[in-house]
Amino acid sequence: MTAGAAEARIGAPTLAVGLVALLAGLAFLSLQVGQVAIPAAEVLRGLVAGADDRAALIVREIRLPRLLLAGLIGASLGLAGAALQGLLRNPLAEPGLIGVSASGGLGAVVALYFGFAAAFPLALPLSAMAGALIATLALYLLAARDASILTLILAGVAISSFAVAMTSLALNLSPTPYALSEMVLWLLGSVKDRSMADVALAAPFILLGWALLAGVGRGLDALSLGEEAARSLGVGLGRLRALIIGGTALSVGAGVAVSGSIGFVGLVVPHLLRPLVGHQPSRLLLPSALGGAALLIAADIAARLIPARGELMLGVLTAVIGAPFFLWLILQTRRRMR
Amino acid sequence: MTRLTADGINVRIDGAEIVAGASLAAAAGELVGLIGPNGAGKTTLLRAVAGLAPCDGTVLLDGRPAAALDRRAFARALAYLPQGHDVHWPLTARRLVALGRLPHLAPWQRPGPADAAAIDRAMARTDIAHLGGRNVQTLSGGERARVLLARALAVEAPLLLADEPIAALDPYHQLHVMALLRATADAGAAIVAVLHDLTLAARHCDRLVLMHEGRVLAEGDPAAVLDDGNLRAAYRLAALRGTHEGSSFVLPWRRLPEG
Repeated sequence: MTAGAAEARIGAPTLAVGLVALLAGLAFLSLQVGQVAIPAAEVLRGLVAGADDRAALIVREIRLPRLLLAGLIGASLGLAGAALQGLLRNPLAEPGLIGVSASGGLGAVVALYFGFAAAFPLALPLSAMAGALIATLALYLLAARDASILTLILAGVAISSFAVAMTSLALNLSPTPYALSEMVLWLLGSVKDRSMADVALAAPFILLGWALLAGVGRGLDALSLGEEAARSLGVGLGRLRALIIGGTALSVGAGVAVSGSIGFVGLVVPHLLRPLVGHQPSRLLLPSALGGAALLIAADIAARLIPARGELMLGVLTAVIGAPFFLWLILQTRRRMR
Repeated sequence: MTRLTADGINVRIDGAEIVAGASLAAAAGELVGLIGPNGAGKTTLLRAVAGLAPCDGTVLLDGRPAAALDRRAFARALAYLPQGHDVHWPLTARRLVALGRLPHLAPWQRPGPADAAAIDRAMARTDIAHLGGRNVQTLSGGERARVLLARALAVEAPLLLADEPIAALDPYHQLHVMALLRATADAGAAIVAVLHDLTLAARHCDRLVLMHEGRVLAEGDPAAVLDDGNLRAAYRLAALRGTHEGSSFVLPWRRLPEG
């Protein structure tokens, strides 16, 4: 087999089963580690038997929501990243590209800035969702219908830049140092100290987003041949684009609303798994979702274990690992094009 | 049996009339060459017929209005091979050819033995069965052109529209692909191919359609379409004519002065 051969090295079912096993192992581990180490037997007792002691409460009330959010958000980022890379036919695309993440962040910062985040527990995530929703509608009006892929990317970048600028303005004019630190910390991204109410708020939107993204595989496969050939194979490009933008906005936007922005997972995971599925966009979707969940859960475990003053923020950790990887990715791509 | 009848096709892009009142027809078993100088509207006419560019006029597939077919039924009735050899991911040749079966699959329906058989036939016909496991991005230009043609043949549509299928190929592979198109037509398909090589077009096609400035200037038997007057009017060319191995050929020879 020649260098860069496209044949998958392992079968699709093997890969999926392997990733599910990895995910299950990491999930179980994530319930055990933290400020207080809880043995596996006690984790099971807390989850299944519904015990009432301190360890069981930590597992159910603190670590389980955290685990669920890391899994849901990681899967959303991986899935949306794989879908967007297929749509744009570019391995450097990622969910942040369409501006939803930055706009969700702006929504949260607005809630903190004007103080209505303190009004009721879900005020902040709801405001973040509103931000993501407005960005999605703007993108749809600007670019989603007949416009070219280039217009779509440019509109996403413009919306993203505007949201970042408004966020900076809010930080700049922050009423108190306390508000400033609250906003900055939130933007760093974390699933720490989240409750089941956060899970219940985000999960329906995330699942709906997944449902929209689940059926796009064949259209993405056809797009490997270019837009004209894809259309001639009966693929409705407008519908495909709307499904991917809508699915990304719902799943990633809802994730950002409860966790802050977490980068690079959507970029890195599809890229790592692509060679294992023979580079076929449709076969990449499920593994990317599983891999994204596994990676974010692993990163959240690492954030708890790495000794630091206070706990490392999840978004910081993924960026610290993700950014050098991104650089390496660009160098690799350039080498291949030469 | 007439597979394609397109009449009165008008395409306007940004107010400019690119195709004006053109018609195009192809019968089962027929290889039709769509020729004309650069900018004559060949690709635009082909795209309009393939439903890829908005146009006025009527397009009938097997006598039925194309507009009445849903997206997938249309894709089963008409296969389209676009210009260029770009493939965006390093897929294997077989997986790429398999994309031609998409119009035959309902959402969530998995490909079956009939699809595998169609893929095998397309790959055998284009002589790429041995390349099935290879990465298409590492294939030579001639191999990749045949893989992409096999993708279009795997649709097994009664009508194939091919836009410059032999552009950017060396002479050996040009002859190879023309022979494949000829054999596919002889097996019963109707084919319209946009061609720039007048010698190959005249030699392999049953009928030529010559476009000039968005209109059909001449159509019919290759020898009649490529007469001196039409060559001068459309291409400003004079041709060398002769006979070799019992068949006549035409070879563009000299540019003619303006006017």
